[in-house]
Amino acid sequence: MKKKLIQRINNFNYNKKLYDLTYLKNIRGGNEELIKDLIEIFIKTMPSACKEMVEASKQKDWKLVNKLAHKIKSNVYTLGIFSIKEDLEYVEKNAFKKQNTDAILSNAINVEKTVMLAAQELQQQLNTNFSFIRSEANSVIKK
Amino acid sequence: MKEHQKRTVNVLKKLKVLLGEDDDLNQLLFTKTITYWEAEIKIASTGTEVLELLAAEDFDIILLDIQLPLKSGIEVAREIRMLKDPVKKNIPIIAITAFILTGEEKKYISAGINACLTKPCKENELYETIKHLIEKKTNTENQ
Repeated sequence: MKKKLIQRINNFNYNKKLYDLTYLKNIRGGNEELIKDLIEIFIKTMPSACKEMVEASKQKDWKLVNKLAHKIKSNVYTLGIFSIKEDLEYVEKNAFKKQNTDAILSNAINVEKTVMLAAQELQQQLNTNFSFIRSEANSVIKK
Repeated sequence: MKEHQKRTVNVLKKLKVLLGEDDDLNQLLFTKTITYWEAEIKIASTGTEVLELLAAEDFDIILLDIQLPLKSGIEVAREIRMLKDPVKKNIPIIAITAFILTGEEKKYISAGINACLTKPCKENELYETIKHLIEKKTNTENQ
């Protein structure tokens, strides 16, 4: 666990965003209003869903943990938060099978922390200027 | 407008789609995509609601999340395939899920689901799957 954490810290790129909006930019030709609405839903719903998943893990309510991990996963993938892909899949799969349950809580906490940070980053972008989506979209088109 | 988008608008126009999905972000994503194709969409947030809406109205296709509250997508599909009305009974069903565990797809197909898509699904992939199933249904009806 400690080794895994150290590896993560070493691999962490402080300039890199936690999210990637490539998928959303390809939906409906990168409609800005739609992307903004989807981000707002994510910020409103996902941190609380993660918190609930951590609580359910503490209570060993594996059915609820599996359900929440599944729900969180589709949102997280839509927003391109792929750094927690393994953690989420671990939580979902093992809660479903009720196996390797000892490590579910730590993985769920990792997911919660990353989702909270990603939500903060996205909120900052929405607060400052939303044209970042347009500029990012243009750079994708130029490539 | 890109060529495939023009084609998409023509083919799916006026189609009636029933979406069984409880997640806010996915509801918005599917609604915007489906209505962009000038198709009509109605949303059910639970498995029971899917069956109620289908009993009350006619639809051309169902997009069904597997992990729906009250009744799962699999239960809903099984109940639809047991309906007396031949039109409703044979309606094409596409399962939309965030993760398909090994062996799960077989379970979906045996429940009467015609195709499975993983969330987040690509616009073109969704379009092609709907188009394929609608054409198949039309061909069967004309025979």
